[in-house]
Amino acid sequence: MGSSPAGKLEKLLSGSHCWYTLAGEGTGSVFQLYLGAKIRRDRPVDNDMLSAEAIWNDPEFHLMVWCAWRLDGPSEPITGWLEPNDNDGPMVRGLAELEGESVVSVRVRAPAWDLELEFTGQKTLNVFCDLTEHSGRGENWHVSGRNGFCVAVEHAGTWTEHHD
Amino acid sequence: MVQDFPRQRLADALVRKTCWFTAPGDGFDDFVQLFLGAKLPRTSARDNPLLSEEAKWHDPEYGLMLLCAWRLDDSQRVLTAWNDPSDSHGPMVRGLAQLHGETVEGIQVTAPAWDLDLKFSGRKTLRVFCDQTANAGGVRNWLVHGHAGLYLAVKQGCIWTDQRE
Repeated sequence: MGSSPAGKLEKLLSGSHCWYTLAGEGTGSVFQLYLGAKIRRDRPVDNDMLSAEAIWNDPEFHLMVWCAWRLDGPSEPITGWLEPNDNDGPMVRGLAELEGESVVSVRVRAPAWDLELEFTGQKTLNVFCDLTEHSGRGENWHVSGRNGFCVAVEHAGTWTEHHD
Repeated sequence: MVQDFPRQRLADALVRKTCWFTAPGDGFDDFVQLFLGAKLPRTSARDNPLLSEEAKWHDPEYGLMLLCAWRLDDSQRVLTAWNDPSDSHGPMVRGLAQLHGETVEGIQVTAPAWDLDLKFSGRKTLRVFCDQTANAGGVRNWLVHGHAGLYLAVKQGCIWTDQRE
């Protein structure tokens, strides 16, 4: 583990295309972004809630978020973690506005490792690490990729990097 | 006409004010309040056993109420956050107590949601994250009120107002 995950994530994620967002009923406020290349699977994922693309393709990078978050547009928030998560509701529709956009910049802010992903379309995803060592819940967010790559912010202020 | 957020008015009110009490969680309807600036004597004491004697007998010159997600950091680590246990000797109370005696050195308010960072002496920063968006269930994100008539609130939907409602 180095001093900050920012540099590596900036290098990996900048320019990545968001081609799918996964959120909705049954997952609370937790969501995933599918970023980067579409990697064809040998077999489909057995989940009929996914799009056909997501059933047949893995993303180059997954971002998964458990903590507080908000997606902002240029002049007002689009959605956030406290919004209703029904499958056609404001959270799912709001996050879907990221599909087709690309990551312009990545910022990771010490000491808690809040994550800010700026996208094309003047959209910014703000991830606020509010799960501390005292809050009794696990991870705030992680980015995973191929070959076992994973950068995870566990309790706010603690991050790990893993490769196979 | 769209008004600019009154950052300067907020800074004029809060900068150089010292935090002398923090009222967290239990008994406060799940919101946290910071007592800032002068201690203004009351004619009768507040009937709340969770308050200190000073806070029972004094109003703050400015109160900052947090009704959304927040976290208190120092320069190296996280001290506490909104969903830490709020029992009277727990991590939230102990963490927030680290602000007692510290002075606001600067504020930062960030569009479009009006997130608030309050920078205190002692290299501590209170980060207020406005998560009460338009379709969330809460009423407000944060508000500052003062005896000199200042009222500034970021409502649900991250809309700011300086009008009491």
